[in-house]
Amino acid sequence: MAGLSTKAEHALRQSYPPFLSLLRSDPGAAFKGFHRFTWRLLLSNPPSILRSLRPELREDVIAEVIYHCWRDNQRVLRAYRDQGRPFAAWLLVVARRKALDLLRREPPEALPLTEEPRGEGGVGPLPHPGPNPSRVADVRRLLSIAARCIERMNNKCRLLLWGSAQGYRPKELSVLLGWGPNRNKKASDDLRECRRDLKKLLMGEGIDWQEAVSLLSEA
Amino acid sequence: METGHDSDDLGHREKRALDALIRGAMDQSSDQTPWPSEEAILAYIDGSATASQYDAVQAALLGSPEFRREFEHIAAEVTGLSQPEAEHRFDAVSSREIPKGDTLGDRPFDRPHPRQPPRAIQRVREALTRSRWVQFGLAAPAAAMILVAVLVLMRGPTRYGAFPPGPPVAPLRPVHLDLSPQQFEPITLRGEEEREEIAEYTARDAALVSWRSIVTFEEGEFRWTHEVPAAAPESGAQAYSIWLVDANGRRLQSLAASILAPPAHVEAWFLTLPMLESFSVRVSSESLRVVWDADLPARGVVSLVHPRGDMYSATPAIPFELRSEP
Repeated sequence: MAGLSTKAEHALRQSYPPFLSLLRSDPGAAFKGFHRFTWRLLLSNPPSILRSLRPELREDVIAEVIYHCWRDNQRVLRAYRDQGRPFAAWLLVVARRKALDLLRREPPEALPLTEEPRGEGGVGPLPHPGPNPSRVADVRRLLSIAARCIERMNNKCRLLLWGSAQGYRPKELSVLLGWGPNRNKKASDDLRECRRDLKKLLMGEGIDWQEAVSLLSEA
Repeated sequence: METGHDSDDLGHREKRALDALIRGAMDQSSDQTPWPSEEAILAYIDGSATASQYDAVQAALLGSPEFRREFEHIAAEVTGLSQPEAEHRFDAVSSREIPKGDTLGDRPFDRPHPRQPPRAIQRVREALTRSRWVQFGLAAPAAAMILVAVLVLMRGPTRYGAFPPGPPVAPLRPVHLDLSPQQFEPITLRGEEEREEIAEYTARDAALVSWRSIVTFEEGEFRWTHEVPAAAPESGAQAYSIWLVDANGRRLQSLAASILAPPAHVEAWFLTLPMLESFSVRVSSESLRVVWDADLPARGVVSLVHPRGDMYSATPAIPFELRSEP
C-alpha cells in the first residue's frame, strides 16, 4: 500500500495552486482558495506600490485585484498558463499593474509617497541649469543631442546606460537585459563599451566633452 | 556617480555627468508603449524569454519610462518571493486578517469585512451570483443522487453483530458536497503527476482535490487515472491502517498510509463511485475499523486529511474495490 508522507510544496512556490484546478468544476471552492491566497500574498509580500498606501486604500486595491481576476467568468485567471514559475509571481505582476491603473484614478492625496531613491550609488537629478539663460539653452541642446545619440545605439546599450544611470548593480543590469541574474560580468563589460561608444557619438556631434562635463557637473 | 562596478577610462566626474545626461535624455521618451504580458515579464526576469517575449519587454523598457521604473520593482519583488522570509511572512498572515467574502455558500458576502470596499464586494457578489447559476446546473443531477443516498442512510441505524476483537470501530459520517460527474472530467494539469500531497484551506477542499487527482469521468464512466506509486515514508511519519469491514466485522479491505500527523488530527475522507457519496471518519488511533454498509458501493477512493499550519493537507487518494479478505 502506498506510503504517503511527502513534504508539500509551499504555496508561494506552486506554479498551479490547487484552487486553479477547481475553476471549471467548483467555482465556489476555487474562489475561496483564490481569495484567501491573494489576501495572504498581498498582505504579506505587497508590491511596493501598495506599501505606502493608507490601509483602507490598500485593501480597496486588493479587493479590486481579486475582482479584476474573477470578473467575466474568471477571464484573467483562466488566461494564466502554468510555465513552471510560481503563480504568486504572476499574481504580483497582475496586482501591480492593476494597482497602477486604479491609482491613476484616485485623488492625489491618496496616492503613494514617492518611492525612495536607490541607496548606494544613487544619483541626483540633472544639475539645475540655474538662472543663466545661456546655460539653460546649453543644457537643453546637450540633452537633445544626447537623446539623438542614444536613439542610434542598440537596445542593449540603451538599457545598460539607463540602468547604470539609475544606479543598477551589475546583477540587476543582467536582469534588465533579460539575461537572468548570473551574467553580471558580461553586463559590466558591455556597459563599459557602451559608455565609450556614447562618448564617441557625442563628440562626433561636435560636443566638447570636457566642456559638457563641466556644464553638467556644476551644481 | 560611483557605481563601483567598472573601471573604464571614464573618470568619476565624467561618469557622473554622463549618467545625468542619460537620465535627462531618456526620460524625455514617450510613454505609449503597451506593457507586455505578465508571462513575458516573468520569463524575461529569469532569463528564459522567447524571442517575441524578449522583444516585447525590451520595447516596453525602451519606450515607456513608467514601465522601466516598474520593472525594477517587479524584478526585486519576484526575486524576493523565493526567499524563506517571504514564505514566513505568508504563513504568518492569520485568518483574522483576511476579510470575509470567501464563500460561495448560501449567503455569500453577507458579513463583509468592515474595511472591505463596498463597490468591490458588490461587484464580486454579482460575479459569483452569475457563476452560481452555472454551478447549479452542474450540481442539480448530483443533488438528486445524493438525496437518494441520504434516504438510504436514513432507513435506520445499521445493527452490527458482535465484532471480533481488533482495533476500534469508527462510524462513517456522511458529508454533503454536491458533487457531480462533470467535476471529474479530465483536466490536464502540468506537474500534477508530481504532486504527492495536496494543501488546501479546508479539509473538504483538500479531499476533493485529492480525489480529483486520480478519479476521472469519461464516456459515462468513472475511472482511476493511475495507481498511486509507493513512496518511502518520511522519518517520524505515523503509519495508519484502516480496515473496511462488513456489518459482522469481517475484513473487506485494508488501507494503509503514513503521514506526519498524530491520530487526533487525522480524518479519512471517502468518496464512493459511481454514486459520489462522501463520508469522513475521525481517525482516532493508528489502526481503525470502518464499517462499510452492504448498501454502499463497493468502489471508491479515500484520502487522509490533516491540518498543516493554517491549511489542510491530503494524501494522494487511494482507490479501493471491496472484496472479502481471507
